Amino acid sequence: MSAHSRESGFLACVMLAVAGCTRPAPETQTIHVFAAASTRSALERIAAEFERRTGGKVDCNFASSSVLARQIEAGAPCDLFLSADPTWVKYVQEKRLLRDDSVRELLRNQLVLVVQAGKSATVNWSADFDVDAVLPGTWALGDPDTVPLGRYARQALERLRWWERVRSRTITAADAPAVLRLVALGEADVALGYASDVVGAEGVVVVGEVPADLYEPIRYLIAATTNATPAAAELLDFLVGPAASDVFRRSGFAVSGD
Amino acid sequence: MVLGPAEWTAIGLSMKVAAVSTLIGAVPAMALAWLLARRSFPGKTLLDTVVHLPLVLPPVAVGYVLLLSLGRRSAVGGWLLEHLGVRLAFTWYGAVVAAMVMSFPLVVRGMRLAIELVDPRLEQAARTLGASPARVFLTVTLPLALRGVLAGLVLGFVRSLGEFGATITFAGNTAGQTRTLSLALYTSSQSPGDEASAMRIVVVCVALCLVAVLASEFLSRRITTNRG
Repeated sequence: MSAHSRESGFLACVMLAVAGCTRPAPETQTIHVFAAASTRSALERIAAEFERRTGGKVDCNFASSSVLARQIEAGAPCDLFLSADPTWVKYVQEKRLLRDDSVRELLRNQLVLVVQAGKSATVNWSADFDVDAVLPGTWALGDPDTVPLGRYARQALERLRWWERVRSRTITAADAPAVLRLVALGEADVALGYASDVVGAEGVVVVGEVPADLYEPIRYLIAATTNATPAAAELLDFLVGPAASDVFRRSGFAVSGD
Repeated sequence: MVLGPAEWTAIGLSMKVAAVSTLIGAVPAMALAWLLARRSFPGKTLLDTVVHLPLVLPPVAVGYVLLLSLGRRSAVGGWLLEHLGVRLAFTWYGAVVAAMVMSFPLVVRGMRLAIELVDPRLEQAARTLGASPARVFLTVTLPLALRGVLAGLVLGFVRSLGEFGATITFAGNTAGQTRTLSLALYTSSQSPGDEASAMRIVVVCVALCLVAVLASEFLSRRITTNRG
């Protein structure tokens, strides 16, 4: 055998050995939850509680709802999808990847105007408001093109006729919590974020709640995928139950059906 | 295949950012490459390691470090904003900085290799004939190393074109300002029904890289024939 073919043979053996090292099948099926980034702190607590009570394993994947929808479409393993935007739920439904009978509204959220901690501003929610004078500097928003938070924020800003005045000094973030982090980091002076993200957030302070009639209702929908494990139904029931609702409320969400 | 206005903007921005970052980084890269190739000094290994950090760190981590060290609240960033009115983070300047930092190790490596391949005896001969170190570099080292230096620069340029993680973290994703081709591709892939745009951008990226490689081949061949 030449040195070259011996080398190739050895490499082939190593590759086969590595490929052959599969993990043994888990005894409890892990439930995969794809959830909007804004639900992270609440959902992690709820998942931990669920694991404690049932001994099941929950694995959460947090990202912007648009990213999650794309991942599910591409075949990522997902049992439950919690989206901050009904548009993306509809998107995945059209791909026949969700159990239509499992789709339900779980939460509602609100937009708030936020500035750096230690600063303040008095906001008048009308087109006459001198937004350039009272709220100067850089605005942080979710990316209106790709992030639900950005979409809602832009709706509100357009209805207020502030969008044209503010858009040239806007920076965007890839998901909801990142928007507030930009203010906390000092890169932005003002932000439109979710009321739920403000709870426990450092470095920011709320100066006003955006009137609900300025943007479409922020509805978080939850659904099970068509190939969800049976254990996922248990988690879904837990998520709509009183213990989980309590955690959601304390995290700044409004629970649907309240 | 017709390109939309958003795509043309992204192409123009990518070319601008990559070109500026390559140009600005060329001289510092050259200086460091020469230092690492031709000199020994205490801390040389440390310097070498630091230069290579952006190559091994996750790009988003590099972007975050840039944010902490050059953002509005940092010493440098704050000074720039106050005295020159210049903001690095979340502007196209930031995109240039991110691209430059990420491609720097590649450029330095290419240039260093090229310099190391130049016979040091030729340089020594020039010194004994009375040339200053600067003159030796410009008239002996650089011409002989030019092919490799060029290859390093092209690699840096192409790397800048493809930069994503550090750019989106430090410069953000603002259309027309910082949404380079890779960010535009990411944005298209996040919007429903924009797959066609994403594919078009992929084709453009492949075409641009092809052009860059062909141009580099052409230039390096010209240099060789000119020398002969």
